[in-house]
Amino acid sequence: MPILNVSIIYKHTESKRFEAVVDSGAPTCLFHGSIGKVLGMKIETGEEGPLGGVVANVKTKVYYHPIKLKVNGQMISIARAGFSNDLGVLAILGREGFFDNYVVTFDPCNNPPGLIMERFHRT
Amino acid sequence: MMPTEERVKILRDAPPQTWIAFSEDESRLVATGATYDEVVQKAEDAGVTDPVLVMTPASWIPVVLV
Repeated sequence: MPILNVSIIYKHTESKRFEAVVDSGAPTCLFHGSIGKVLGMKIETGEEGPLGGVVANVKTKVYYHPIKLKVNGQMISIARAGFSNDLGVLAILGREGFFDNYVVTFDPCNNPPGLIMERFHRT
Repeated sequence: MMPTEERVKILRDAPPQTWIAFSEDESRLVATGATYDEVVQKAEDAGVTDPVLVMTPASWIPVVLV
């Protein structure tokens, strides 16, 4: 899986860096609830939404909070980052919040496989 | 950064949903713990203040993330 090390900032508190899966199939950025909790976030006070995947009839809840995402020293404000204690990974970087800020080229030829990112800024 | 095979072995050998801390440059394993706070404290006790954290999954079945 393509992985990036990121940290998040919630209300001026920054997490340690952790692995996040880069996933263009994900509509939003998602984070495990344990990361939000250590930053003082009350997960279930966020805007509630459904969370599912490719397996039919398996759904859980996700709660959205505004955060800042730190990637390679760059800061991105994400108005709606989803948090769920049921996430199978620590973090998923999806289209809203990540792919709308970076052009990403996946390079599977290296060992380990990598990716090339270019930040772009909307005018 | 440590060889991929070594990193995979560390992750696979750890119990499910274990927090793992690698050094700043990911060249070595620094600490493991049951929680974020525990692994961060252990990493700091080992002199690593900017670890890279991983949490092993509940199971290693292939997944498709959407």
